[in-house]
Amino acid sequence: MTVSLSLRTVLAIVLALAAAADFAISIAVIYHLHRYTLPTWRLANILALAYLALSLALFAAALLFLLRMPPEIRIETPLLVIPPL
Amino acid sequence: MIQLAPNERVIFVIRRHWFVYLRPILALVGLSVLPAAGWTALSLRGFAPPPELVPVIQLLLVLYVKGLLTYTFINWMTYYLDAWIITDQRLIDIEQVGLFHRRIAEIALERIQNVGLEIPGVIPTFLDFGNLKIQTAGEGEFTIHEVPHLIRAKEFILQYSRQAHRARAAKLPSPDGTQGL
Repeated sequence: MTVSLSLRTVLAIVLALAAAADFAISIAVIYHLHRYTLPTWRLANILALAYLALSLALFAAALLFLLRMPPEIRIETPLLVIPPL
Repeated sequence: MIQLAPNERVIFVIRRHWFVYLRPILALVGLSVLPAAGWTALSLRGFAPPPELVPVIQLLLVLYVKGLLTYTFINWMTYYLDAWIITDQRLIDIEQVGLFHRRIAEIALERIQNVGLEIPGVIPTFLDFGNLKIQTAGEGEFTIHEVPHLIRAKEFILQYSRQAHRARAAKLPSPDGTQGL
């Protein structure tokens, strides 16, 4: 028995998970760069902001490609049936 | 922020030698080249994706680039935060092991008794880096790993620790009750 899923939906879920993970990492990185640096280490704050801007740009591009994807592409996957104990 | 005393001045900051980060740098270069190499190999075999799959490939490529960016940034942050800050009063050793793992230690310059160095191998000899072994009064030995410009760093630390010793001796009262030199 197989189940048919829209590729766009699957990739939208993947993208949402990646964005959530990246948001957590970005916050951790920015926090560390603020907490464990000297006030004179300005490069850290500049690069943290540059990283955030680049990340947002890449996610915007990913979203654009997701929206361009035809919804009729489907993937067939076997249905996972857990046997009773 | 790392807090300094009001009259404390940062003299210099040492970061690990770049050679220590050669493995992540090579991994990054390899991973960056990989999609282009794969695409070229497929194109040479006459593969062309169907038009409806092009946005899927573009999306996966963007996510891949994003992963590389995060990998680069975390490695850079580990390099940048893993530092030794030498002020006119103390030596602060920040060892950034991973994103959420760090060790911070500090020694007052006036407690430093001797600074030794160790150059462990051929590559450190040619690239001028190694380990600094700092002996302190009461706290034993303290090692700073993979320090670049080793001899100059040793001389700097010894110079400022001697100054700190002299400043401390000047502040201490002499046995006859007068202020020191």
